[in-house]
Amino acid sequence: MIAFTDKSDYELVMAVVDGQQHAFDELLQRYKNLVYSVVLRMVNDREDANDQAQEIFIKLYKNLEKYRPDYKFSTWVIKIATNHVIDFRRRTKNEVLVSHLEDTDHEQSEFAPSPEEAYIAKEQTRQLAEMLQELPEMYRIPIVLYHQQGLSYQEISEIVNEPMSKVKNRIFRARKLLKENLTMKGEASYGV
Amino acid sequence: MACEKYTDMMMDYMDGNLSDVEQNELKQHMEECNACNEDFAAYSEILQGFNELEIIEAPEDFAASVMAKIYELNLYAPKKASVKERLVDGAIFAAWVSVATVLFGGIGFAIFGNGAVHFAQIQGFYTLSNIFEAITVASQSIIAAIGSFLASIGNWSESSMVVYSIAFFALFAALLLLQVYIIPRQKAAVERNRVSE
Ligand SMILES: [Zn+2]
Repeated sequence: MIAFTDKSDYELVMAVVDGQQHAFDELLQRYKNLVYSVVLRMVNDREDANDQAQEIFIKLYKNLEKYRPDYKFSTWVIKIATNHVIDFRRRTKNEVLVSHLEDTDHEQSEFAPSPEEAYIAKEQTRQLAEMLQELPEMYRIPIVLYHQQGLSYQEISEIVNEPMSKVKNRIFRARKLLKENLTMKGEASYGV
Repeated sequence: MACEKYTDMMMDYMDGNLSDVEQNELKQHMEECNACNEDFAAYSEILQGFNELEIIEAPEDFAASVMAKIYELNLYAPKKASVKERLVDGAIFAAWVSVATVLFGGIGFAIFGNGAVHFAQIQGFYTLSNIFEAITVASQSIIAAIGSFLASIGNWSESSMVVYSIAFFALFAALLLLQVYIIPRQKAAVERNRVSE
């Protein structure tokens, strides 16, 4: 098998379209965690996230020929992922609010600097993950894309089809909601 | 209190858009204002939490199950030639071989064999005077070649030699048309269908 690891995303896309199906495996390795995280943050159920993330990759595969390298591949991936999740939600009209994130901790990073630091980090993660789930979707999606995935306001506005000013406002509002939530839990002075 | 201004600064800070001067101003305010200090602590914790959030790994068998579906879909596989296509390709190849055999065998015989001289004299292909004539002569020489080939393998009347020669020309032209025009067009059409699916 040819080594694809040193190929660019676009070269991999071209290779797949050219009939080298297994080049897609390298794209999967590069983006499976990204897609899975984005989806899990939005749907909050591991099984749903797994199913949807798989569907998203199939969708990516089917649309590979439409990919143009003037977008970053990761942005394109997140765009398709986000739209898929939003569509899915619209179809099922089923907003899952129950948190399954207790399970999430077990699959966090294995390399922990120290037990105490790891505990604090885990605690913060758990707390934030929980609070995110309590955020309405209109705030949750942009803030996850912005802070977790590092997309720009511009990129998010393209993904959710809203003007940039609206996206920005929602992210600000989301931060404030999270902060209020955090302060309410009386943990604000923690770890700073 | 004018804390709203500092909240805005915190937002800019989280966007990575706060200048050093502004950062100092914010710091100074936070030393005096407990509310903003607490807010900032909370925001920092949230940012920290987001950094930690990044590491959710997809299930172990994730990639394998996606790849299984993809191999099944197999949208971009190099198209395997169908039996029909292979038959057509084979037939065309065989036709080229037989035409080439007849032409080159015939020309060889025309040059080196006895029948050619006789047939060439009948057709008069020694008269090269202009391009048109040259083309005529070239075709005639091929006819002569075919004729001489036919003559070499049996007793043929001159008229039947001409008929057979013309038949070879027709075959030659048909093959050219097929390979240069019809087949590439069909392949392009198949390709367009595949892509638009
Ligand atoms: Zn203040």
